Amino acid sequence: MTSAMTFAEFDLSVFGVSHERHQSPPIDLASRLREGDVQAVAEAYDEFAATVRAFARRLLGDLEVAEDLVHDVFVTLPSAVRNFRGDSSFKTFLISIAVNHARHHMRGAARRRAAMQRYAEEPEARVDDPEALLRQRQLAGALSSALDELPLDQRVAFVLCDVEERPSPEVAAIVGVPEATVRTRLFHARRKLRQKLEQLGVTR
Amino acid sequence: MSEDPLFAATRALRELSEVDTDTEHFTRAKILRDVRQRQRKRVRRGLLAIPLAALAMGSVAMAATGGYLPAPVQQWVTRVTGIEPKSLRAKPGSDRFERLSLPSVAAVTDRTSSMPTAPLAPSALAPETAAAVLSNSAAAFASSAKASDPVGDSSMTEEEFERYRLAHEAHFVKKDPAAALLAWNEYLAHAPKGRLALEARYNQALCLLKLGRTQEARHALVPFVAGSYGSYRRQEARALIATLDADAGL
Repeated sequence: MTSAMTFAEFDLSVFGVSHERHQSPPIDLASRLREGDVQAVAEAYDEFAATVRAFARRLLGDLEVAEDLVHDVFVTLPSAVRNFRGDSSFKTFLISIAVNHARHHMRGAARRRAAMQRYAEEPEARVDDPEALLRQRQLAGALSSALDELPLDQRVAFVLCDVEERPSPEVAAIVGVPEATVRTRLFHARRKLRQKLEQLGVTR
Repeated sequence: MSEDPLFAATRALRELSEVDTDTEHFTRAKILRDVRQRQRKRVRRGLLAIPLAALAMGSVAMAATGGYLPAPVQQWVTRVTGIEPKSLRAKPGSDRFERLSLPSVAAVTDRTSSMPTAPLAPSALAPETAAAVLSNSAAAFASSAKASDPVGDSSMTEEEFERYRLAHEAHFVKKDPAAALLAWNEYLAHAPKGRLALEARYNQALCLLKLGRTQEARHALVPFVAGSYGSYRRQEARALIATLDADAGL
């Protein structure tokens, strides 16, 4: 099976990208999106939704509100793509759209999380090691609550740099500020988050 | 050695990435539906915008033709589209042209009937008398009276327009017949066959009446009555001369 693969197919499969998708480079996709091709929106969703969704969930800490953010990003993509010049990756561009839309969703996410905590409606774990997962959920929940206390800029910087482990030049490109500004925001975000986690009882 | 709580929480948030395929598919379907809806809305807006834009353009064109736009807008429209207001190319007898000569026949007749026998102000005319200007300009105009366009020149220079505006202002806004007469004389000296020459000539006659210079006024009105300028102001001129005759006891 592997021997029948061409080099290009093998190379792509390593990165989990199908050959068919690779033949539709972002620039071509962008031009089809600009023309309002609905099929292009579907293709963009299939290829990039996971990245946007992961970022949205980490940033907002709420699955439903994160889905709303994903929805907004892809619905506005045909008009937003006019600003895509191809000097950054399409993923970076989509994350920057998500950052721009996030402000509208942050308050709703914080409200929902507060309500969930009040009524203890967090879903139960369904894995082999429920205690470990519960601990993981508690930590993630505490961090999401702590993130609610941060301004959007610091919150975005923390999620992109520390949670998603993106390099600071990429984060700077996404948010459209110098790298030094990203680092400053990250420094303040970490300091505040440590304080908040302590207040929430998350200790060593 | 325990882990830094912030690092631990960050790792937990990173690793908690459950993928619910139902949610993914639902969001995908919702996105595609909304994108299509947006496109349909855009098309509908476009279909509505085209007739609205056409209507707006038509309205502006009509307003520009009728001279109903504010002066700066009118100038801009004229520069861009070449549409000139009707007032600048109106033929005698047209509505717009009538509106420019503000006093009605009845009003002028009334004023004429109560006109003082002596002039309201000492004649401050230029060395050439009004009568001379009138006869000269009337002769100049009469030579072209048989032309197809009795209005004369089809174009109007800024200077001509400015002179007309000053005369109009002195006549109808400041209501100073002496100053207005001077201004009308200057306008006609500058543009004896100008677009608004007929109007200016008639207004000259009105000023002369207001100043009590009835003979000169009568002299100025005669070409209108005689039809030298077509039917323009013919009836009004006839009525004014009749009033003058009645005042004179003729």
